[in-house]
Amino acid sequence: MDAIVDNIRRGDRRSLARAMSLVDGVSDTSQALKDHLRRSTGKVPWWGFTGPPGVGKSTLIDALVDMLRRRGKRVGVVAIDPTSPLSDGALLGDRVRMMRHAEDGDVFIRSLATHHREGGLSDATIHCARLLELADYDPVLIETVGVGQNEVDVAPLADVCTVILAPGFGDDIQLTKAGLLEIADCVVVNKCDLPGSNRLLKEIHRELGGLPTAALAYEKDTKVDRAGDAAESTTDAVEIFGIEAKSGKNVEELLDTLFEMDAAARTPDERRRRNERRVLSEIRRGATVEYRRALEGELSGDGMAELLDTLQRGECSVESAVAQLVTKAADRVRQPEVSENDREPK
Amino acid sequence: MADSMQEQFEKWKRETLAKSTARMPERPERTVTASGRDVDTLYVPKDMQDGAARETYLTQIGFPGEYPFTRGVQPAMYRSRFWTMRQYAGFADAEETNQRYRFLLENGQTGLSVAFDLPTQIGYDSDHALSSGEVGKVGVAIDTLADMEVLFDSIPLDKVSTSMTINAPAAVLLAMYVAVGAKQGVPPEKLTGTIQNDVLKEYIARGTYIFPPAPSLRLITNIFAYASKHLPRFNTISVSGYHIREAGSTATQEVSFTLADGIAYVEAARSAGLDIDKFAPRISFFFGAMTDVLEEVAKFRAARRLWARIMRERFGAKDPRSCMLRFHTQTCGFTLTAQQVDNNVVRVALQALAAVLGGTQSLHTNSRDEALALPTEEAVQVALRTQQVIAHESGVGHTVDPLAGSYYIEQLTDEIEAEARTYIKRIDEMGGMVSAIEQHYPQSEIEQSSYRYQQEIERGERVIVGVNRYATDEEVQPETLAISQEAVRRQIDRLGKARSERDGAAVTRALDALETGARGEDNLMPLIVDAVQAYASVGEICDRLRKVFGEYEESGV
Amino acid sequence: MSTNTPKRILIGKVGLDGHDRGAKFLVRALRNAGYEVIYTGIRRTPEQIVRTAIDEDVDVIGLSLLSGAHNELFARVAQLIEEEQAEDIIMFAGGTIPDKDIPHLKSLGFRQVFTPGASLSEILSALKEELGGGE
Repeated sequence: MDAIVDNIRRGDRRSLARAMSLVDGVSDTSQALKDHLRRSTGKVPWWGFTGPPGVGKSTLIDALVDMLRRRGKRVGVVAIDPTSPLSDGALLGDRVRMMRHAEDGDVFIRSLATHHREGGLSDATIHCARLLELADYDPVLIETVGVGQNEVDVAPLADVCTVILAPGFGDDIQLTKAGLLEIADCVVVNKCDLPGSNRLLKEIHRELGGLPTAALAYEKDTKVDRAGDAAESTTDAVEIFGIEAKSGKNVEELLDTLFEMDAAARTPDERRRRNERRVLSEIRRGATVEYRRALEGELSGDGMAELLDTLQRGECSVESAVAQLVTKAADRVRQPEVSENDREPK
Repeated sequence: MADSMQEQFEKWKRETLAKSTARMPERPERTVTASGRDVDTLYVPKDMQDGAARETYLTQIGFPGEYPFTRGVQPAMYRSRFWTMRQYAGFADAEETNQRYRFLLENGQTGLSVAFDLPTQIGYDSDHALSSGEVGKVGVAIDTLADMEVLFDSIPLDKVSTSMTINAPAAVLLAMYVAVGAKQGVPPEKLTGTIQNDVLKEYIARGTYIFPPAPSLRLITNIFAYASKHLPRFNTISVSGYHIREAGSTATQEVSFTLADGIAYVEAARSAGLDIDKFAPRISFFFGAMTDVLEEVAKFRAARRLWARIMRERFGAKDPRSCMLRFHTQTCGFTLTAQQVDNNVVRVALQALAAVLGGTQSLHTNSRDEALALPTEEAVQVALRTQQVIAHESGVGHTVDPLAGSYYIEQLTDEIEAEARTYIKRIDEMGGMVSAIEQHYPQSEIEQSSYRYQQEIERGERVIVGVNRYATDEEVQPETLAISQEAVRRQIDRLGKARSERDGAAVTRALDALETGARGEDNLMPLIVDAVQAYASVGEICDRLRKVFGEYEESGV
Repeated sequence: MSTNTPKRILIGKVGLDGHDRGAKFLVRALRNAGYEVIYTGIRRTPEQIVRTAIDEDVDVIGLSLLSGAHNELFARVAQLIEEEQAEDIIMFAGGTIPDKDIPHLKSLGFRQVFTPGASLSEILSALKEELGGGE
């Protein structure tokens, strides 16, 4: 493992790429590497980008990477796409829009599939992002698909979280109510030249409790609107932008704001909180997996038939069946017997 | 309408048909069936008594050469003149291509069709890094005017009509064609032909774009304006559905996206201040022909009728010629199989028949070996003969729109028109075709159709003879054409020679003027003409434009 | 790499050829067959393709080209793979490739060459074979 870390530190891209595959699996080396990464990273804030499919996340990230490079930054990108629920395959299509950076030695892009995990990320995401940190990429960008409040796993990982929407998607207004905006430090309306963008911006302001004053209407030249201006602490304020990623309109302004937020996240306090959040997300995920696996094991185990019989005969209530199940599952967690028949939990 | 069908018919014969045959008389050959029976120009439901039915006939179907042109854009169609038999050709360098053109002209082909190699189509010179391996592979390499002069050596431009399949750098190649004509002493007013010049379908289906949509539309309208003054007999756009179909669309999608592209061009031209009746008559179209003969015939009729209605109702065109959808057809290449290649001759024959029954103005028939590589001379000849057999032996050209009145054809025509209207409405709602393309809409519609079609083949639900049924173990390897490295070297040498012999200062001046013009609002055609006459290369001209306009990046899967 | 994670395939269109109907179909079909597919889009240089393949640590590179430029461009890809010492990545080639060019491509390291007419099931079984029966 030390050799791997050394190679990565020296700038060997193949080692970095292979390490990312390594942390996707289970092995002693993988475990050692993950532990090392936990200890040796945490300085660099991560920028998260999420939003529904088709709004232009990849196009925006492509533009941001370009601008970050111009500002002398080395950029790492992890782009996550959903694994097909039917097959185990995935179409990792974010890369296509970022191909111009393929030969840039100071840009590293990795595409990952969710592997059926809900929440918008894969288990390997956090390790890959840490690997990018290890390899001196700063900032690290994480792109994922998010439609509603079930796809918010990027929030604890991202120090700066941007939600991207766009007009012209039949239910764009509904999206503002879907819970995704709650994780945003920044909300971006892309394709702001299309009809409906003003309406969408207004709706976003409304959802975030902003004042729908005349000042907030998106004019072609207005760059930034700030919801919650009345809020005392700047950490409560959510920045809202109307941009056009393809042409670059307002993207520099967005980047400036992201940098401000990034800078604010580089204090020792923030660093401590960041690492706590990251580790907590790992613990939560690990524990959830264990409990779910145990529960699924019970649900598909031999005891279920009998339990269901008892229920049918009216000899116990649903509530008491649940209580029995939960106790059995807890026991299973304490003494794991991972059998072949246990379904992989999501 | 008080007049009976018979009276309407007579009126059409007296007025529309007579005027047309006065200008373009019918061919001297007798139009008789194989058994010697005389065939009339047109057949109508003469005895249609019912007023409502007649009204429907007259508005929906009508007469050829009359709005809405369902039955054809000319009254006598192939009785006056057969469709132009125009075989697409071009490979390696200009010399070899020139030889192939002279061969085809001697063998009875009536128009030339130029295929350019990918570097030329994408505005790169033959010695550019990205051109490596691609020079002369899918068409002729043209770098400077010197190559164009070789290409048309001994071919009188006032006697042939040339169709150039060129899009993003169309302005450059058109300027070169005009320059070659000038050297031959042929004034631009006498030049006939077509440039494809349809950049929107590149973004949708073909992939040979250079600049982003907005500056590309500017170049296109510049060409329209220039041509309306100097090239009255040249078709300056061939709005294409062929590639859309080749990418896997349905017949309806082919019509819908093509016409929607056409709408975008008309709107662009109008915004540029052009009078619709000045440029619309010069718009031509280009479709594919699939093997499902009857659907194709309905498709062509639906496209004609819908376009006519769009031009009159949406754009207020007054000149009837603005409403005529004239089109070139190519038989669909993707249907050609590598297995049992002789089956392809049959496929192409059926596809060609569909195009003729559908009323095409010109036709390219694919050669049987095109699934493997560029065709041999022998295969090309068979493809040309296919058209000639249809023209002279099948009799389908004796009468206009022979399938009209078929219950199936008329219903299918109506359905395709209605479906296309729905698509166009949706595209309008998205803000027009450029906007729809940026939102990946036509692309994803096509991807879905394509996927479905291919899956049907993989699952055996759709039979492809010789491939998933009636397949044989075969060893037959048709002779395919190899591109000689010699030719590539010759090309690069000629480029070097042109560069060294030209007046470098004049080239730089011309390119600078072009760049300045591109940053402004001027029509770029005269500036491009100046540049090509100074022997600036395609790559040099396009690089300057790239500097100003930027390059287009696709939006992915 | 865990034995259960799906194999990763890069489908690349190298050179100026813009015909991506086949590639786009293949990308979806491979996804439906359980692979993780990275599609590069059209008009990519051999350098971009190889760099992407290495960064994404793919198991297979599938190159598609219909303009006839395969000998030069595919050879360049093979050369770059060798320079990067990434020969463990399995390489497939597809497109309008005459039979007589196949031995040469194979000698460059392309394990399978698919010509027009190759069916999806052929491609899938070839993949399965090369990847040693993995998903």
